[in-house]
Amino acid sequence: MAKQNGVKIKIGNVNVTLRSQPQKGTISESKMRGAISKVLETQKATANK
Amino acid sequence: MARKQTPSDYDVQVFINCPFDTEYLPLLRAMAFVVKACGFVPRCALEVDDAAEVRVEKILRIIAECRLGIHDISRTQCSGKKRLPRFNMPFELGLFLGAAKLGGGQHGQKVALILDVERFRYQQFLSDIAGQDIKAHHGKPEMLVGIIRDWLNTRLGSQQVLPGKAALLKQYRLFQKKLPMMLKNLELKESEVSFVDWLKLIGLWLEAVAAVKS
Repeated sequence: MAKQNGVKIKIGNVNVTLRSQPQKGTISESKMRGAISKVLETQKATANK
Repeated sequence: MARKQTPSDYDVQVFINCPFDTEYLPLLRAMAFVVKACGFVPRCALEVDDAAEVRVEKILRIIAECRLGIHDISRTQCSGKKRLPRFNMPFELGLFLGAAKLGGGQHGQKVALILDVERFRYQQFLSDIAGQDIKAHHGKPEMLVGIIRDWLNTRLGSQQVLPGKAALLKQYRLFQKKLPMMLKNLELKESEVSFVDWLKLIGLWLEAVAAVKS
């Protein structure tokens, strides 16, 4: 079953709890986090130019 | 002051019943994105890859665990070499509505959102569902985001609020824009990402974007 204690974030001005999935995927979480942070870093670098 | 109630697992799980082909993928991704971003848990038959479990058993198990169900019955056209229509979506909608009506206990609280490309087209091929909540997405992912957000919003208690449509669309557009680069970094093609991994990627993306903003 899904975990109730998910990650709390803000979208717009509303707080949302992102609930975890009951199943595990095939791609590791660290790999996904790495791919995402690369994208965000590129975005930040472009914005700072 | 009234105590804020925490929704149960059952209350926040959303059964997604839709086509799983490449053509439908943008709509499925939009659906998964908005459900996840609104704090609900998307569930569907794609989440388990267990050959030992009979498909209908798997679907029934997931339906039993979900109070909410989103059913897209838009895929009515014939497909494949034999040019036959697919009946899985109307069948699973029937299972969901049957569980709601006859399942007893918490199943009586089940609520379905039925989607098609046009609002009244279903009358030509599935008239038995007249009286249900049927909405048209016209094949547009962004329209789907708004429809699902509004529908989920009506399922919440009066003390809870969902992000607004504009804020969700902004997040969705950003995710869509950055997706090719994310996939490139993961060395994956869109079709190689499983449903569960999509959900994980959407969740981690939302988390990372929120962290950058705060």
